[in-house]
Amino acid sequence: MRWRLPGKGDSAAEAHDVRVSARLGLWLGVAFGLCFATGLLSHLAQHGAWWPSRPVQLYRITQGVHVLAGMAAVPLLLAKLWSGCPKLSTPPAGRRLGYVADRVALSVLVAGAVFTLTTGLFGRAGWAPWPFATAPAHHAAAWLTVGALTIHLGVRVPQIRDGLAMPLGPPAPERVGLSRRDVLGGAYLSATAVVLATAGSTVPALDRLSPLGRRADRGPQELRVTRTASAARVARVGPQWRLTVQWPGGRRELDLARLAGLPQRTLRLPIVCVQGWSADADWTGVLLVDLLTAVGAPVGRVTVESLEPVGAHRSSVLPVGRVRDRSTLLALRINGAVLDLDHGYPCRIVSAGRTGTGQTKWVTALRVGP
Amino acid sequence: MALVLAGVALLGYGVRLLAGAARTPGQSVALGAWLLAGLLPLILVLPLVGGVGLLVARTLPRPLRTTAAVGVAVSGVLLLVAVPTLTGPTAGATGVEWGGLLAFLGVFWGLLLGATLSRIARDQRRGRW
Repeated sequence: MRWRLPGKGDSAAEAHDVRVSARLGLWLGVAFGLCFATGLLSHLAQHGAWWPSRPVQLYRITQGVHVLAGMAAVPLLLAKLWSGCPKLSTPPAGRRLGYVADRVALSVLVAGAVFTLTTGLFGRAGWAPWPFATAPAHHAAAWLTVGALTIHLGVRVPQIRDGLAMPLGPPAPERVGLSRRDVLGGAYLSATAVVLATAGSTVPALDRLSPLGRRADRGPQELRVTRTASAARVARVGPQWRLTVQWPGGRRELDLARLAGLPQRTLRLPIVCVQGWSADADWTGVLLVDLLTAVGAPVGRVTVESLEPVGAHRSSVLPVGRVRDRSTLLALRINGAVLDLDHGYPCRIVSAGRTGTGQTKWVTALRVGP
Repeated sequence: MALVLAGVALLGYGVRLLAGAARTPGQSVALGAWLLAGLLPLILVLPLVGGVGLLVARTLPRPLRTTAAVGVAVSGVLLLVAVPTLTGPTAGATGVEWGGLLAFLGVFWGLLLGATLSRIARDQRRGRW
């Protein structure tokens, strides 16, 4: 038997038909579009000054969609590459410059898409087997990929339109391999299986069904922890611990007994990790706005400092709107019990609709700005 | 043309962000290498898929080929996305275990084979096989 790559017009190779490529590309585009949009929202939630505290579950939904759409994109991308690969060896049909530009954009698209999904998968597992920071590289590669995808769409619109307009048709009796419907069905089934296998991280009802869902109840006090005290290099906190509240022209120190003596509120709020898992818990503590009022501090933008000695999470900033919000707690207890050290003992910030990285643990100081 | 220009602008912004994502020359080299490695599926994975497809086509009767190909594809993808979680530094602490994944795959293969056998039986009744 003579080896050859199936190409355009080869009725024996239905997997590589433009009708299959176009449909896979459409769903891959939807998955990447969802990933990109929700990824930008997550970027805004982490680095922007504003994110709504209502609805409380908003970030949980957007980040859940981000992770699940990324998971679905893995089989769709592999199927799309398989379907489109023979066309990569097709000689240029038009002008040489256009051909070169298309191939460069395609190479960037493939490399960027694979890199973005790989960094997403490893980031979800909390594993960085490379020397650079995962999140900024993931974010940059997403822009790169979307740019290359937009160029690809601009160049290939006529073929995509033709491919989508043509019905799939019956399989040819002399075909080699799977029919067009089988290839598409296999890709969609793979995407569905991966989503089902992962969705338990975000959708509580699927928790027991999803073998790849990171169990949100696996951790101290039945709540997962992404960054443990030992990873953050925070040792046991002794009785000498004090919370410092500082503002222009004033400063107060409070011990744990004084904090616990202030009016306490219990709120049911989710912790949402950028890695994709999320879970609700009952948090008890002092409303931040009440605390500032009790010590005589003005209500303004607050910089929260942690006992964590180094790293990006050792401090966070709460805009004034977030400080005033009556769902922003300095929490001392979780589900009725004193916080475990891994959950941020002696106190941590918990605020509705805030990413896990912004719910600063092991709080030692609140610096109120203007 | 508008899409191409918009794409070039987005791409340029991505390159700018990428340049800022690496803080040392070593990180830049690693970032470039990992990005280039994104082309590896074209060199490694796709021939593997083709090889498995050929094996399936040569060894199995036609009614079972789709089942085998789809089953292998779904299992392969699930294993691929599970690797970082199941082999990374947080493995064992996440509640994600090999046993759960294998049970999921067992149920999936059971359903797939059940659907295939019922289709073959239906075709036999109609005299198509």
